[in-house]
Amino acid sequence: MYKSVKVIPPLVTLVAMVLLGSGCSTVIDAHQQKSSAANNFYDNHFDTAAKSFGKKVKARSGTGDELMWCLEQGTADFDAGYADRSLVAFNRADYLIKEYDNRATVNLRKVGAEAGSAVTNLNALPYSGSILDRQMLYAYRAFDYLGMGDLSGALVEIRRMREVHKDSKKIFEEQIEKTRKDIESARLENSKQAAKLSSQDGTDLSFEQLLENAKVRKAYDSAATKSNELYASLANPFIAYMSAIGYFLEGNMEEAMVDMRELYRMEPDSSLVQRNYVTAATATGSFVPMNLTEVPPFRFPLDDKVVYVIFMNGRGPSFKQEKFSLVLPWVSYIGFAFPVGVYSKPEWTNLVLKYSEQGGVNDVRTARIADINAVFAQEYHENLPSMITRIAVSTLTKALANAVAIEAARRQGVGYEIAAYFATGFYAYLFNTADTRCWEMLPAEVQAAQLPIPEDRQLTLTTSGINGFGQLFLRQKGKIVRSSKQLDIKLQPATRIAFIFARGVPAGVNIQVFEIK
Amino acid sequence: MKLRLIMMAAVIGIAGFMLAGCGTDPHRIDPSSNQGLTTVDDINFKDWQIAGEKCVKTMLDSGVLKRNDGRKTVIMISTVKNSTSQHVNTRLLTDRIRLAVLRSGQAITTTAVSGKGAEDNASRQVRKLADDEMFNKKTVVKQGTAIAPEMSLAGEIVQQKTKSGRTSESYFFIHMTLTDLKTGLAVWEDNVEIAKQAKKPWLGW
Amino acid sequence: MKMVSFTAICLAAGIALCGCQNTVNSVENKDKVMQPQEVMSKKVSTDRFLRDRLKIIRIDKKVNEAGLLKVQVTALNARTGFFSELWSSLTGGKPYKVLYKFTWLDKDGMVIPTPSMNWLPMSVIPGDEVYFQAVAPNKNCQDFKLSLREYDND
Repeated sequence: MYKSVKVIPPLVTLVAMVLLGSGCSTVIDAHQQKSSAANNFYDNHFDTAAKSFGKKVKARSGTGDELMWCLEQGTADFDAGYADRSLVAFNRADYLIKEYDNRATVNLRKVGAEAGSAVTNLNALPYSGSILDRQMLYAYRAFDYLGMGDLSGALVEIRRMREVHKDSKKIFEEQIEKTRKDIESARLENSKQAAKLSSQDGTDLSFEQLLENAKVRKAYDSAATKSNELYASLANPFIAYMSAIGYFLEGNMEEAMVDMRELYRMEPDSSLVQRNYVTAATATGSFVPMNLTEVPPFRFPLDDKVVYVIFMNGRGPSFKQEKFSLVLPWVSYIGFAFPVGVYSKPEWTNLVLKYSEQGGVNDVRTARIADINAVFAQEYHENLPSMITRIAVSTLTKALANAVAIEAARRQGVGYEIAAYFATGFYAYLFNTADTRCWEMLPAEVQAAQLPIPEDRQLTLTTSGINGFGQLFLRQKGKIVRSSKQLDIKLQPATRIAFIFARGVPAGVNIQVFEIK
Repeated sequence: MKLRLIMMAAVIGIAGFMLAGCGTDPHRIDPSSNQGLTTVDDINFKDWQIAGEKCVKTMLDSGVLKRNDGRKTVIMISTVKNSTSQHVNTRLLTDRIRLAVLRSGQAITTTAVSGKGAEDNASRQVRKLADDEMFNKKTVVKQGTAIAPEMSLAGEIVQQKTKSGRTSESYFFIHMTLTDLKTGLAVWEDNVEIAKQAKKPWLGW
Repeated sequence: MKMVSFTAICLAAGIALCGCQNTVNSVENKDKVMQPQEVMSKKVSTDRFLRDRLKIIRIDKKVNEAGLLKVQVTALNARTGFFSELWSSLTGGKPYKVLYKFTWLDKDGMVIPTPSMNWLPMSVIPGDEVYFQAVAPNKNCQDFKLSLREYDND
């Protein structure tokens, strides 16, 4: 008894330290924590959402959750029309990712976080960003630079984005290998604890055993259905498209062709991808596939007097907490909490841009270039076996420790046993929280369009969804300066390249225009 | 008891001393020395100094700036294209070269035109004063008096990154050219290579 | 017996360490066509380590097409041979890194400020010759001074 009591103060201290160092997500899952700000965002109150996320960044500064809040704040600020503020948030996110990656292989912070996660849950580990987060961070940073009129700065960010995209598989494999090692060491620890129990049945769980559970099976299968098998090796078509834009603007058609080949492999049915492919292939004298011989190349330059339209459509994928329990021989039941992907359908079909050309009126419609839901689902699906095994093994670690404590208490008397049951049960309930941390303000899909700057520099935008035409909001510096179902935009005479950024939420589509002279 | 207190004070003292040893007060460093920070991903100020020194040396040695009519060559600073994945201000290189060129007494640079428009808009603005009644027309600089550049300084910076295990590496390649604007021929070219490597520690905080 | 083993271990360690040290082996044409203008030098050395490692072999000058003085200082890293290489390995001088700086003076001995009066790094592999070159920033430069010191972060 004395021994058990002696263990309590350091344990309480450790748990307190974990709670301080990891943010709140060890107890309340991240998805739930950001639901209010996320609702503001999707209700078209970007500014309010940005402020809420900004408060969270300040409150969680120095904790393992800081990166996640920075990503959310950066997106909300950008969409609200504050590119400069957004860049500050993304600078911090960039710093945190680099700082995490450059940590020593064996570092004290990691040891501390691992110890914390052993007594609580995976939320105690610092959030270092998913592959999708890392790819999209640099894309958004490029948008920020464009928002500030700095094309050269945007091209730097596009180059960084390419580097991350190239290393995606390597980074992912390193993460999986790290998880595998953690599982191995946790299993070893569990077998030592299990030796103290009268029965060792069910003291280890494999992914195959966990997959027998209906909830786990459903999560695994739905991720497989959602993911696009053409997006293999964690490739993100949006990144390939942004990379190609970078090369188009630099007049480097050879490299743009490389991106186009990758993009066409991932999104073969996209009309925009097809036209870009043919344009780059024609410029470089490359092979054009048989089924694209009828597709005309763009008849206007892609590095001058051109408009690029990027349409971020719909509510992005996120995680929600799912719980399930297993009956094990040495303990009545054990509860597991794990993240399950939540996917939404984009509200708007596309964005239509009308402009005059040679006496007639032309219209260009945005076409899908990337299904972000599928990119997210792909990473989740590949990550799930090791993630859920790790959750199970670490939950078992805690349950085994509880079982050993209860067995010890039983020897002390009935009162002690009941108290031990109560204490361990409450503790298990409190920390049975899934790691739902992810970047939730991303879109469900990305559409794009390219068109020449019209002679009269006049563009008319409309959008439509299931319920007809949608409202369009023109944003500048956090304010909606115009709102209409048909939005007219007049580009300035000196504009060489224009970027139209659109963010579709249920209330309508928000438009920002960045002009490069 | 007393011994215990002394021991505790000693431990706290040592810990405090160790913690204090973790940082340094802000201090000035000599930019001509070798004291600056070296990072793998960035071009540090010493790198700009090395690159500038090499370019200036080879340009002055090439003799391309010298004219036989005794007049000074007029050079415009065009664009140094940043093809790296770092945000760099290429003025850190071009300003060093233009200063060396000016001090050589063989050439002179123009601020009325550059790769990114006029570096100093005043040359254009003062000519507009001819329409302003406030100014004496005779004192206003006349149109057609500015001297057009004869040569242009341009370049590109490229970066290649490599990572293997805990070691990361950056290779910067700086290429500079001086073009005779009359013929379009590059009369001087030089490359500067900067390679840096760092290894992530195995054990640390 | 113990002494023999100890000596053998030390020798093996020495050989192993020397294995880490690369030196330069060079070949050049015997009948030279170059006609350098050698400069009589005056050298003041205050650094014992630098003096032992880097030997100044010769100093040449010429006036280039633009009428600017160009100088070249040839130095040799003379620390070759078993014990020198062993010592270099132990002291971290592989390759040996130095910092150098040229100062230009006018005919009255006044220092002419140049934008490049900075310490610049140079690596010297044992056995190799290095050339410290500089071109005078303008025609007023008549004399020069080369300063050399061991590479450090100060």
